[in-house]
Amino acid sequence: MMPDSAHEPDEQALLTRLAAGDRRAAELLVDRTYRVVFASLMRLTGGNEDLAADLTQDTYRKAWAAIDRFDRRSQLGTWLYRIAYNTFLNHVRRPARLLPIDEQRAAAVADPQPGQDDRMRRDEARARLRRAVVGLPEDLRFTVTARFWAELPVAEIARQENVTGAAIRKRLKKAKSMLRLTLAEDP
Amino acid sequence: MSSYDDRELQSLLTPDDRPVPPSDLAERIKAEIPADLAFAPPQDVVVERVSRLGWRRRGWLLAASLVTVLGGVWLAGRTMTEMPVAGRADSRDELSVAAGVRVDVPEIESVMRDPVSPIPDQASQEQSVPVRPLVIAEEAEAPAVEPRDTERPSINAATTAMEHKRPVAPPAEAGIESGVPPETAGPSAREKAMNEAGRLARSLAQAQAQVQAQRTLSARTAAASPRVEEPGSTRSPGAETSPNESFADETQVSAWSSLAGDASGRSGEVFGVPPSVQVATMMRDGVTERAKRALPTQGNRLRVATVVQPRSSFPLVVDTASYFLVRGLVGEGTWPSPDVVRVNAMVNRFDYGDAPPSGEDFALYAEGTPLPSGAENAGRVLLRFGKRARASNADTPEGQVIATVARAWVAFNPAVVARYRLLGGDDRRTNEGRSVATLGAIQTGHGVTALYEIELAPNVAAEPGWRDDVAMLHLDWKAAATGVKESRSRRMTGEDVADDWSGASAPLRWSVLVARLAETLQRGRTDAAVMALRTETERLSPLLFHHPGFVEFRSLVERVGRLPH
Repeated sequence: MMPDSAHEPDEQALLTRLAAGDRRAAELLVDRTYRVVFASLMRLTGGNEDLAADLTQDTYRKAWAAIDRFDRRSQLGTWLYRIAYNTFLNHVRRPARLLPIDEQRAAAVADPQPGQDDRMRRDEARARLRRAVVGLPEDLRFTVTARFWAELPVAEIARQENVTGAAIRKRLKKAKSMLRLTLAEDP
Repeated sequence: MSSYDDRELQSLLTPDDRPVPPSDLAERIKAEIPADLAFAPPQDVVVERVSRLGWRRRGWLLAASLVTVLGGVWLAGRTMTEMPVAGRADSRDELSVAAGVRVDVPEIESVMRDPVSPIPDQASQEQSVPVRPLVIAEEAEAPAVEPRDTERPSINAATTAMEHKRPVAPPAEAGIESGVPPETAGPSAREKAMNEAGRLARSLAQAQAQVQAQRTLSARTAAASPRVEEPGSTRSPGAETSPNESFADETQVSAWSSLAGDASGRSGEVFGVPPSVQVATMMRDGVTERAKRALPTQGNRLRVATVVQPRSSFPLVVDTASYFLVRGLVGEGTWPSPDVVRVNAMVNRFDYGDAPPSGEDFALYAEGTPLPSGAENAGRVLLRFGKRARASNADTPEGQVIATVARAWVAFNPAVVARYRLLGGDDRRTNEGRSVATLGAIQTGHGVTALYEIELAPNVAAEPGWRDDVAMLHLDWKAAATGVKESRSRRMTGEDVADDWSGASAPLRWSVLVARLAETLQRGRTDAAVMALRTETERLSPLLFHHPGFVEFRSLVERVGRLPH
């Protein structure tokens, strides 16, 4: 979630302007971050575009309400991903929506085009992988999704989680081991 | 396809492309930007990042790291060359753990003997302690209380008794006690190996001596209060008052006792043997990992035996984010998963009305209450310790750091408190076992609350109206303005403990209910627990209806009661 252009104001300057009530700064921050937030939610929801867009809006609503508590320990995008992730979890944990995420969203995953066997196999493998990721313990699940689906650097995740980079790498290694085991058991 | 190698897994985890958002999404988000965005950013955002360090500083850091690594390699090589005794490295590690248990005792005793002692490593820098607004006046000036034969010992006297019962260290042990390694005399490898074996034997002997001291102390306590003997009992008074045995039948878990822990909390003392002995025995047998697990871990669900570890520290800086997450989930009709619930965070979400000090930097508070009546709660008492920093004024604006380093701990009187447990102590063990810091910088207006559940010694629990010392709350800190270390203490006696639950202060009962809600959320719903919680909350309502925090809490409890099964 880096700035699109090196010539634009940096994030800290925008946040300072935001704190002063500058609406334009808020819009620029949205422009910089919403694509990745949406993309991460697309991956979390298994490709449900409407749901991902709704959750993205929810994420920003919550962010505006809590922006005064953003301590700038991490980058804004990292903080936003934590909110997006929690928003997603809140969504799937609602009693009315407790269906397994994979079953709930499987139909929404884009069907492969006919004849593209490799692509189809890969999508199938990704669907199984996503099931396995969702089934990880909380700390590993957040770390894996933040690293791969929200495209956050290890150092940023470490700041957000208030642990060392080595701890995040350990989590990733452990998560991969668990994923391999899960995928091996998943017929 | 049933297995993946690293490369395949990495490839699958890495998305091929980034999904493109709907064209109108950005506008939809921007349309919801609030009209009034201005806010005051948090003042504790000064986090220096490595990426912002200058190149010169990076260079120094790199050089320091290299020196450390190379030095470590050199030392390891030298150790391997000079000490070719098989298994030596492991045995040293194990022994250091055992020594940690033993060497802690003098420090704890020292701290308890001197309730206003400065931070140990600053003992030579004694500072004049400012007037303490809430400290008992006699505390600083009164000499150590000498126990009469008919009295239970106070905190000071009880620990002095333990000290006197400790065996006199032989000359060879003096170096260990004082932290001077025996290797400095330059013995041969064989002699060193013999020393290690001797250390192990001494650690066992000393641990056993601790048990003996504990039993002696218990016997003295029992002798001072013979009324604890049950009619018809054939057991000796000493056996009656052994803290180890006081938990022997602690297996019942009720709606209220669940707050005070569960049967698993007994694992701190396996088979009634104190952890120090377990550890030494396991190390003798080479069971290193098991031995480490048996150590009296600070703040977890284990109830810590006071005679083994009378001192307990608690965090001064508590992140309350967990509370807001829980509230959000409950508001949406979802039972929060246990891993998001933090007892300490929820307890510290609320301000229980502790008044700031007048003219001093900090005020300390301590009060207690027995748990609501019930056979399983007999002898169980909840203690609330609070710390409040002065509020902001014209000289010290809000948010100003008034103490750069501070720590707080409680020293329990082993003659009165058999065991204790820090509620929410589990919260410290998160994120790969990293401990949440107990040190912290303190700003004006800052307050923190720590709740302990204690098990009274049987003879104390059986005595109505007891007034003995329960614990000493300590706080020491380095003043931000002057850099001078200061300390403050607050003695808690039986007079600070209400006679029963209904007689406890409303803030204390409220704080206990908050902890109870958190533990109920952690352990899963039971109708009895939720019902008891709602009932007690309603009973408090007439007393706290004016408190916005309590109104919020009551609303949360009601919503929890309405959650679907």
